[in-house]
Amino acid sequence: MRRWPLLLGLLPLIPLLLLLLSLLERPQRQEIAVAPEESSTSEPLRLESGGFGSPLIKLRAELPVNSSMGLGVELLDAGGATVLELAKDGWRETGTWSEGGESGRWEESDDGVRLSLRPPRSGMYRLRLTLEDLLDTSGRPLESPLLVRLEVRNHSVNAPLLWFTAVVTQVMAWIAMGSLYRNWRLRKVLRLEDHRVLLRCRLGGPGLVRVALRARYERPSSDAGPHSPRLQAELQLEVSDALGRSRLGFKRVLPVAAHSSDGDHWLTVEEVLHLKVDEPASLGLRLTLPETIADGGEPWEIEWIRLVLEDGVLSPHPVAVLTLEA
Amino acid sequence: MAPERTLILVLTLSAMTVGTVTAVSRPYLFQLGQEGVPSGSSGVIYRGSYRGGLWVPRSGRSSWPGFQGRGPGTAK
Repeated sequence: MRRWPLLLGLLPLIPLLLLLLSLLERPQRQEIAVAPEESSTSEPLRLESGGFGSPLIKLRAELPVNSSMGLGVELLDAGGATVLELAKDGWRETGTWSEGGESGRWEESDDGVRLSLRPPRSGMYRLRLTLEDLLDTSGRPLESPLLVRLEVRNHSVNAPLLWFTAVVTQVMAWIAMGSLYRNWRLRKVLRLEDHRVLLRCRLGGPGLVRVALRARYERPSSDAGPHSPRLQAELQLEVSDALGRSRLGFKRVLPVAAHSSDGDHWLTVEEVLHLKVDEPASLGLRLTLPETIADGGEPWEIEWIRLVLEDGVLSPHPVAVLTLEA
Repeated sequence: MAPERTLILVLTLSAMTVGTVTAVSRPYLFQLGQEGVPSGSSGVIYRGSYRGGLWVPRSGRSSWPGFQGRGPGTAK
């Protein structure tokens, strides 16, 4: 068993946790009313230049319906000097549409500014807004003041890149875990119409030997289903070394599963065993299941037994391991 | 551990580290004082640019053309 590679599955949580931390930040919010052809200055805003994220300044004007604006925006430092100046041309328009006998209203707008930047050092800044134009659709000036909503976050991160990183990391973690946990060697696959399997194979080394067994039982002539609700079958496993000396004798009573479909009934027995074989060696395996299972009336007879033998198996979960006697 | 598994592990950790650090530290973000202007959003015109670490205003105002003719019934 090796569990630490399972921790790789937690790696995608790191970018997602940082994204969550960024979203938990409480933004600085202000509302600024600006009269046409006048300026208004915001309250002081703190802009951080730290390493976790960067400042994001968002402005959104509450434009009247069917109007356009020209908004001047200046970023002022603590001394009142302009450190950035821009103009935003915005509009908001509504109307009706009709097509194919149907009609409705539409509304579109472009009334926001998003400004991502980093100051050279953390400090207090202000925004000075100047409403240079506020016009209706005919180009006539509107006299009402304009309300501008301001939101500042200091720890804005590149969210699409964090999502992309989480997805890529998850895919690579799956590949890495697969390279560790699915790297076994298939040694033998057998399907015999018998109740026992005898084979000799070279097995062992790092990891475990996995013996996967499946068998099917049917009634030879009767179509009757199982009478007993809890049928059982005893599995015997014997392992011998290259000289024929017995190295392991193991018995286990297995539960029997009943199946039926379209009037057919059958039983299956399944088991997976893990063996620890430190050094590769020629081993003889003998697996035996009962030839018949008594169940009142006609007994169930074995149809076939299927065996899959692998070594170099690494399990992420604890498994019961059988060890060979010295 | 086999070399290819080590390589996969290193690549996994590198992808997570590089992507996360880049997204959080944003090394290519515009810094005040840096030459030029920040990347603009829709309808934004910068009235100047940084030269030699100083904000140099641009003289004159651009004329706002008014509505862009959005909405159903017009080309978008």
